[in-house]
Amino acid sequence: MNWLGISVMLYKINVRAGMQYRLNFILSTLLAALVTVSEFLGLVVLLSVFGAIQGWSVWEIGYLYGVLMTAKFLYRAFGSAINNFEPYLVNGTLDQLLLRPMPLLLAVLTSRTRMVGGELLQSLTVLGACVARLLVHGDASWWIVPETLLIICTGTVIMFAVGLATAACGFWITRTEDLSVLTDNATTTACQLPLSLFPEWLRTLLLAVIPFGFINYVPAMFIVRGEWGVWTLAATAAVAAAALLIALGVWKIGVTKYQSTGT
Amino acid sequence: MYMLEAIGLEKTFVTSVPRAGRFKAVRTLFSREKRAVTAVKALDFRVAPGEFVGFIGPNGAGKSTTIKMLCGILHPSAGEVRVAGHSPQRDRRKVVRKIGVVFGQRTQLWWDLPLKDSFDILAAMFRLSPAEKERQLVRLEEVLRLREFWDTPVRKLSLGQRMRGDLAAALLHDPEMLVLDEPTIGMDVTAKRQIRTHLKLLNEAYGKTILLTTHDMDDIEQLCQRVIVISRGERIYDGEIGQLRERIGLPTVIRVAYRGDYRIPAGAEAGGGADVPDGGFRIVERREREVAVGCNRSETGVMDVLRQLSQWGEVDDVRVEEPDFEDIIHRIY
Repeated sequence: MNWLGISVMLYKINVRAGMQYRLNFILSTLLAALVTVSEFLGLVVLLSVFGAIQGWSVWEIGYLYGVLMTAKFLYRAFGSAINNFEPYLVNGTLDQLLLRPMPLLLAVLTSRTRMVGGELLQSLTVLGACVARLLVHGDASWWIVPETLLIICTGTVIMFAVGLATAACGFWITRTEDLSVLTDNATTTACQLPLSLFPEWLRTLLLAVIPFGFINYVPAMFIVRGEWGVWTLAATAAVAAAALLIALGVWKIGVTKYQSTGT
Repeated sequence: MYMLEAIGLEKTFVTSVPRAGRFKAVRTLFSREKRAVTAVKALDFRVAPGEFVGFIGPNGAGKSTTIKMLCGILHPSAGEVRVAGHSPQRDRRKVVRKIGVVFGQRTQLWWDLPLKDSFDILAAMFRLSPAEKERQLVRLEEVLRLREFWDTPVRKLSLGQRMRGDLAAALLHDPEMLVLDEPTIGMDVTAKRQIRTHLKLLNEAYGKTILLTTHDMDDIEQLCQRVIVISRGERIYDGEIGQLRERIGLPTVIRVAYRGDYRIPAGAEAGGGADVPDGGFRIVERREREVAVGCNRSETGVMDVLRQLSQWGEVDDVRVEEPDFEDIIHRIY
């Protein structure tokens, strides 16, 4: 069995172990679905009141939302451990993972799985509906499909890279939960809307520091708005690759600073 | 080649100095003042293949930190570790194939799954072929007797059973060395005895090198040929268990309760810690109707002490205590 096979096996095992507590599993799935649905409804209400925001139609903003959320839940599906990394440092769970003959990051990723089927389905539905609408009205060509698939991939990588860098900060500061509210939750919420709505400093932050702007806004300026050139896709891919490399670098240094816990 | 080498091993933890007063959490966060705590200081030792080594010292002496550096969990601040010639920090994955590690207070088994599933997972991770896995399980069954709770979810196992499971999990990939951090912690006497029998067998019959930390003196006495004692991060003894015992002696505390009053002979009245002249023991504690004395059994017999104590008053009850090994180590060094 290669590492991919073993990873799949470990993910399956996590699901099986999670199913042992059936009521908890059902409740947490329902709650998560409720949260995303209500979040989305909030956005819908906002848009139905304003109709369009700074020239962005409801469907275009729906597209931004769909891409962002699909990337988010893909990341949450396989990167749940990175997203909730604090307990690994606080409880010293990382010790056990360091004893496995696997690359550490892979051991961490496969140690926890979150079931995101419902949320992913919802995000993809929104995304599909918006893409269909844009196609039917002739606002986009069929190129939108492969382009969207591409930016879902790069978006997931950016999400993962930011999550990994945040988790790696924990090797120095141990507690990362509040930090990840800032780097993940707040930025995700902001990026549901076009970046052009925000003040300069926030836009710079979302493009240069925590590059969530490259998950949906930047490529959408080309894919659905056609205002910017095809270079945006290349830039998006480059940002995703750079973010991943930096995050892996920080992680690698962080691991040598791991302090474990006393017994 | 040595199985394990620690060369000038050091570990320093840097922490922020906590601030007091208003907004102390925030001020601690931004404080520039750091304090370096040295957990392990210039530690050197070597372990040859097949040895059974006890690694002991008081709480906070740096045992766990050292063990974690040996396994590649922590990175040393200075110095080096070699496990069968490899650095656990640079070649972590190579080293974890050569060692089996058990932390008594944690389990590496999958908590919610039947025990047998953990072995399937570990076999896949260590890339054992089905034949290799089966052969290992048959061997482990001989030593650890796992079949009786094979299908039980790990969370429902007793402490002793879980430890047998953890030992088997650490041994599945047939490592050359076992590293055990307090494997008998929290166990009752029967479970401890069982685990010790298993460990002895693993060392003697299967030739595994074993490094063991424990707070249990009986573990050390019954299992280890050699002990390394560390205190405050430094090695203070490395040698045979017999010689350590000679150095420590056999300290014992005898508590005698008297039926009525008792009278301490002149000269020993000074109180706590006073030597009783020509008695070969000293008074540790005095209460209204009870006195506790300490002696070294390699010099003075318990019966001799009792004979003297019975002259002080009418003896009601006698208790003989062997103090915690850890206390003794602490006192001696």
